[in-house]
Amino acid sequence: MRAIRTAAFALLVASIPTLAAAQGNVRLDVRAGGANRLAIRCLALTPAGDRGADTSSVKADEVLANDLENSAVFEVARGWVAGGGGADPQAEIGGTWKVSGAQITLSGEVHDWPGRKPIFVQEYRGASSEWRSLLHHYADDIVMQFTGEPGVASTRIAFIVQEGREKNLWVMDSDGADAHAITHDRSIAQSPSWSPDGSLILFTSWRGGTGPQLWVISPQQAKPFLVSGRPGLNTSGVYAPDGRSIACTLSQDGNAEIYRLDPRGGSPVRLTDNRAIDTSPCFSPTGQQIAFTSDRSGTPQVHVMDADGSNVRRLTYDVNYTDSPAWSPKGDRIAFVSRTDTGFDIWICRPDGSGAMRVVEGSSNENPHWSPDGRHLVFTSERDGKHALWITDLDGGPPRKLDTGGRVALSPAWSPRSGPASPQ
Amino acid sequence: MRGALAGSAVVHGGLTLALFVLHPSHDVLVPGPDVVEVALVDPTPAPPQPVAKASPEPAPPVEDRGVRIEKPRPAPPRAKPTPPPPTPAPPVRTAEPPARVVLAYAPVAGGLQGEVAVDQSNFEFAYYLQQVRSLIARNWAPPAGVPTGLKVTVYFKVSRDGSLSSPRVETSSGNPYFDEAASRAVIVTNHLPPLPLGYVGADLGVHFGFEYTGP
Repeated sequence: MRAIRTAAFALLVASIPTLAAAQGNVRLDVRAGGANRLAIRCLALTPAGDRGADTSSVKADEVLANDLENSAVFEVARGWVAGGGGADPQAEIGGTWKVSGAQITLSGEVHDWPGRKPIFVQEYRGASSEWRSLLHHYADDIVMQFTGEPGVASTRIAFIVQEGREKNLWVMDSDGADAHAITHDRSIAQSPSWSPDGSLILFTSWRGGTGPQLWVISPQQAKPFLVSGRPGLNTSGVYAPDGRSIACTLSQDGNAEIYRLDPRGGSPVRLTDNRAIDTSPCFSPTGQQIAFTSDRSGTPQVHVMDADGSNVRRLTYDVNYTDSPAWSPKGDRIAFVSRTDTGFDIWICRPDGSGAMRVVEGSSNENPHWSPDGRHLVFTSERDGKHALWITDLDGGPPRKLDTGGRVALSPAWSPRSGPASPQ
Repeated sequence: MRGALAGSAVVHGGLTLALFVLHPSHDVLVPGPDVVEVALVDPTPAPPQPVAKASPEPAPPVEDRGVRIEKPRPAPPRAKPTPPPPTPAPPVRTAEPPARVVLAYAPVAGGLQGEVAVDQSNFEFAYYLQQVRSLIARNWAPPAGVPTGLKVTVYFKVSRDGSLSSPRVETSSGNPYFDEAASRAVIVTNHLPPLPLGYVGADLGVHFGFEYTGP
């Protein structure tokens, strides 16, 4: 009898992952496929004010339509393209683009279609030098109006540009515009990570001359400050979600271990302690857990531990050789890379390791990083010959390339949202 | 005089009782002479496909072309109970009954179908119902082992900023696990898009139907 009970219990336990996987797939299926994109039509903005508004409003039309398309929420028809009408839209996006000297006023209007009842009206004002940001804010508000969550058109992406033997830290808008260098070090910069308020970037640099150290820089001021220059490695630093500590890899005690530091680099607390290499830490959005890579089981594998270093468990046994964990902003997924014959694929799974699913494959794809709304992953890929930045919307469509002017681009980090979506 | 009063009370009470007893269904209380039907042409859910490197073709065509608003159709004639004589006592819903805007949806992945309806007859924003449908369906997972054909309706209110309040099971499926799964989907969704500017109400009552068509 006891044997039967044991067998029944074993059967029950064995069936749990299957059930969980089946339910999880259902939820992913509903999200996936791009089928839930809302059809909208962008109408050309009406130019007003100074002469020249005609030209700039045409550019504005394209920036706005691209933002809305890139949101992965909408299927966008461009009203100014003949035959570009597509399906009947749910809504029409339009407004007025008024140029007065160095000032631009964008009066955004979103209407229901075909009823043309107002859905959303908002005015945006700013300097003409920042005309793109007005449109990004408008796009983010439109996404908010249709989904209940603001978009990410106003966010930025930090990344590394390799030129010869140098690697410098760069920043650009999330649509690829306004890419510019932050460091000019004749050195090697690596693995940038934004502070939770988006004001600082933590990165690894060899600029100190004694190996890799952790530095922090403000994209506005462009003057780096040393955070950790301990003997050996000081790498892969990330801020905790509350900004009150940093997790990083140090090798001051002999081999690479994960440590927790205060934001200035002091008060080190060692979180891992074994003979294996432990690196690439990444916080859960609550700050209660840390995902990291360890080769303690023979090959590199993503593990998860509590933020004090306890309760270490391997993330997934479904996939071999995993690295580069990235916890989604809502906490419901962890993205990571898995080695293949030709390079790496990008996978996502639940934080308990179940539901592992390959989302990007072919060529080599590395360093996945989530957008703050969790709808996109930015990553490095060699799919068109050399390392460049690509974005997947996780809806089954092909990834899109970010234009970095043909430069070799690596190690992207998506900024958090900064401030409210509607500046007035 | 007292006898006449008592008699009147008995007659009115009886009429009121008769009114409730004679009501064959909820539909008579909330008849739909002005129903605006909104039919959703839903896509056959495509299986999630991995992103392939050498795939220059765009994603397969999406058939979810939105919602078609049909003109209000005259309701089929209904057998109405005899209107009660003027009486101050019972709060019966009488003239100008609220019509409903209804969004039917075909099965989405996971074997879910049903309809989304709102209380207000002047709600003309089909996109909004489609978003409500998508956002809540995304959070629904079928409880293991429930039979197909179960139906439950969950009622909730959406305030202007999109926050969702007081969800309750309006019409039970009879299966507590299925009811629970439906309530969970609504509660977990927590926040919906803000109400459209052109809708003037302070909030919007939504009746969300869940029907399980099988895995």
